[in-house]
Amino acid sequence: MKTATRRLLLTGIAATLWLGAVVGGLGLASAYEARAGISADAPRAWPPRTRIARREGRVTVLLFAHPLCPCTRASVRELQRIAARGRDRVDITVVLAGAPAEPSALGVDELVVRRLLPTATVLVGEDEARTFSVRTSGQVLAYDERGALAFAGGITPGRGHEGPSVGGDDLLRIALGESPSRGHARVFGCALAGPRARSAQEH
Amino acid sequence: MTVAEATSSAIDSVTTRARAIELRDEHEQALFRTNDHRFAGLLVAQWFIAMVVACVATPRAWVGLSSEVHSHVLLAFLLGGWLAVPPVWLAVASPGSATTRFAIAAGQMGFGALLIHLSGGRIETHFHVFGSLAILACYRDYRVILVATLLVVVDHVVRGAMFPESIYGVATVEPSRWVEHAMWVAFEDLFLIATCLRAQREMWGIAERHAKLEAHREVERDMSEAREANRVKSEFIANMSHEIRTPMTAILGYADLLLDAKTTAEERRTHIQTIRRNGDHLLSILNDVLDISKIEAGRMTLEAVSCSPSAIIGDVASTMRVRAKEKGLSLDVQYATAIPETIESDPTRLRQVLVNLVSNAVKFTGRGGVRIVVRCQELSAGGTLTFEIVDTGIGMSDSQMTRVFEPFVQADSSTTRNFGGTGLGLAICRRLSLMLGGDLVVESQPGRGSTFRLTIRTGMLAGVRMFERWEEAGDSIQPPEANPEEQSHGRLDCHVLLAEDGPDNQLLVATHLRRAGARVTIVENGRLALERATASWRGGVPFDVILMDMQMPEMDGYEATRALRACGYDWPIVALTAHAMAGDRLKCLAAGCCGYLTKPVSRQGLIAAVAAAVQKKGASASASGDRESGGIFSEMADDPEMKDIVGMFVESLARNSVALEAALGDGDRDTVKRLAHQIKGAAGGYGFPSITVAAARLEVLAKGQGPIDEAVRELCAMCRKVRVVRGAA
Repeated sequence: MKTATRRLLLTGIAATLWLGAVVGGLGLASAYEARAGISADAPRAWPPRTRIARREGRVTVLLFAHPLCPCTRASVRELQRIAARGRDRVDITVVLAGAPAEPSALGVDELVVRRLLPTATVLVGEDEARTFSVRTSGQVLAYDERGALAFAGGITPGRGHEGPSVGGDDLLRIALGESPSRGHARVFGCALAGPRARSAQEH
Repeated sequence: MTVAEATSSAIDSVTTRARAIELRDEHEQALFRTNDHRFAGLLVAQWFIAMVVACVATPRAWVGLSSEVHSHVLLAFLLGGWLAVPPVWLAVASPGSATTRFAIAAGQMGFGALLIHLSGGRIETHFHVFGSLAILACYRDYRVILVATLLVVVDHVVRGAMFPESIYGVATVEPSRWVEHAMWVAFEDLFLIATCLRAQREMWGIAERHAKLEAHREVERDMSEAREANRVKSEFIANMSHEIRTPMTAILGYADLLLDAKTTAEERRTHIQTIRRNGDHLLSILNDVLDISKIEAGRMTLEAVSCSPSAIIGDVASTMRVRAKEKGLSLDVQYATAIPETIESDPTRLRQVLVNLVSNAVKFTGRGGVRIVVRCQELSAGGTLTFEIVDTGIGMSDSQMTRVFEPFVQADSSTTRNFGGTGLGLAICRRLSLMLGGDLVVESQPGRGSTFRLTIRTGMLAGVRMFERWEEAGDSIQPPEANPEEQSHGRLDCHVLLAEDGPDNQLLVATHLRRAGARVTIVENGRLALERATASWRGGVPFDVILMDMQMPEMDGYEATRALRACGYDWPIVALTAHAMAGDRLKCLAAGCCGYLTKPVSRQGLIAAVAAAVQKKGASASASGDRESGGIFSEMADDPEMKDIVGMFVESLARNSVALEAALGDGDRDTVKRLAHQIKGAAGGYGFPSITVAAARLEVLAKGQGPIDEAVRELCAMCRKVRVVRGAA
């Protein structure tokens, strides 16, 4: 084989391996981003033992979020977008669970939520997450005016991704007084409790 | 426009275009290299930025209270590194290559994909793609834009189909969404590619203008050099005219005086000596002009034969000592190191250079003396011999030294007025020294003298006897050629056939020979020479020597000699020719001559050559019994010390003989030529001159296109007859 041909062949092989690895890396990362967390097995009707107040005749939206999960900021922003359009019909409560919601440069604490969602109620602690059987940060539950579960799922298109999503669209419909198209969606975010805590919760 | 002008113009145009391409390529390369280095920096910076962004935005993934490093951080570090390192390495290792450019384009677009992913498909991050394409246009190579665009489109199509949220930020997209993105990229590409093409045209225009400007300057420089060369040659012609007219005036004037009846016998003798001296001077001028023209035409060929440097130095010193003595100068030879007994070189040309240098040293020295200092350096690939000719003469300034080796130039015009000469001697010496594998340089100080340092290659010196002192070498030097005239007291007792077409030369040569005692038969051309020589040979009374002019009408000397040798004529034929170069001598020997005389012939040289030929024939006749019995013996056969060395050579001859026949069978003329050259160069040194002659003839034939079969067979047959000592099988 001539030197020039051999060199061309080697360059082609090297370029293919290089670009192949790039494509593989991006594919793996994309697959990770698209992997959903465990959805909540939420009560169909408003549970009586919860401390969260529900006003009759208004839609109650609950967001359960891990304060340090990088995806939380995206969920809060999506909720902010939806709340802005349905503020007359919606009461929002954000439950920060899974880790102490202390002020942190990288996390989402109570102050951040209050800044982004001024009308929202903020609760801290795992009790409400257990009450509503929520396991994944970013889980949103919407109960209609009569206290029936109207929507359960995430409102972001992927881990940490903002933008239009099936869950976000459904929640917006509910906020605007329309019927949701599906009523559920996949949740993208960190786990609110580790396996041990989760086991305790299940028992 | 004439055909010649049109052709010249076309050639100029082609040359200018080639130069423009060269300049454009140089400019492009510089641009590519600069951009490669800039992009290398940018890729590293993007890698760093990607890691910082990942660490800040998504440092850790959480599971309740426990956490681990977020996949984005790993992705930024690993994939960012994988994207950046190969192109950066190429930019450092192979800047300017197309592979590097394309790798950088791929890396840059890869970073676009990575950043879009890390930002979760934020639409703002897509500006990275447009920005990257724009800065990649700095390469002014539209192929880079196309490669980058192709990668963007493939990424959008593939990843958009599999993980749309990672590239478009939404989980579900229309199948044609990538077309929209691709269209925007294509829209930008239109402008970028157009810009690249325009930039390339501009670069070409600039290169073309530069090339034309350079060509114009070159023409101006050539014209200036041509004018200068013309001026120098005009000066040279004027000088030559003066140089020729001066001795010519003397020759013609004294010839007139000889015709005068009142001139006494003593005056006639003086006048004839004057005519002779001036004739010699004219001949030396002619030889110089001939030499320089041959050298400049590349037609000068040098020999590489075994010769004694001590003998050459001794010869030069004894010749020049007479002139030095006339001026009251000393002329000494010193060996600074041990000097080899023999070297492989061209003795004629080495002698010529040394004579010229020593002659100049004597000419330009008024007081003091001249020294010839010789030193030898032995190297693994052969040795070098350095001759320093040191004088205490007028010396030269720096500017004179820079011009002294140029042809037709002397140190200055006053040199010509004061010392004569054509200004060719040192130019010839310099060129000959280069052809001898060395160089000639000069060191000088005005008023303090000059040192000319001549270096030549000696060939391999392993096993060569070394002389520590000049006196030691001088004792062992044998006269290079015994003077047969002296041996025979200038008397010849032989019958010579003179083949010469010029009546004046016929008369001159015949008179010299007859006065020396020889009988002379004259013929006018080669055909008559062939007929007379063959007839007398077959009649049992062959001519002892044939003096054959090589340029004659009807049949020239080469053809006549070849015809005589072809029919088995083995009596001496001495070439007589006006062609005085080394190559001409070989040509004559290859034709079958055993001697060589150049015109004008001196009386002594003529008689010596005829006597030598007669003597050699006598010697070979005495050995003919051996030859007829099947053996050719070395002239060193009787020297027991040489027996082993000659034996080794005889063995190598047998091998070369087999190789020659094999090469002839394969039709490999180059090998035949190479082997013939080797045998020619070595056989004489081991005492086999007849082998040298046959090999020289074969070499000349092999260089041409004619048949070589007969010459190969002849040489091989001779090689097979070679014996180390008499009586050996």
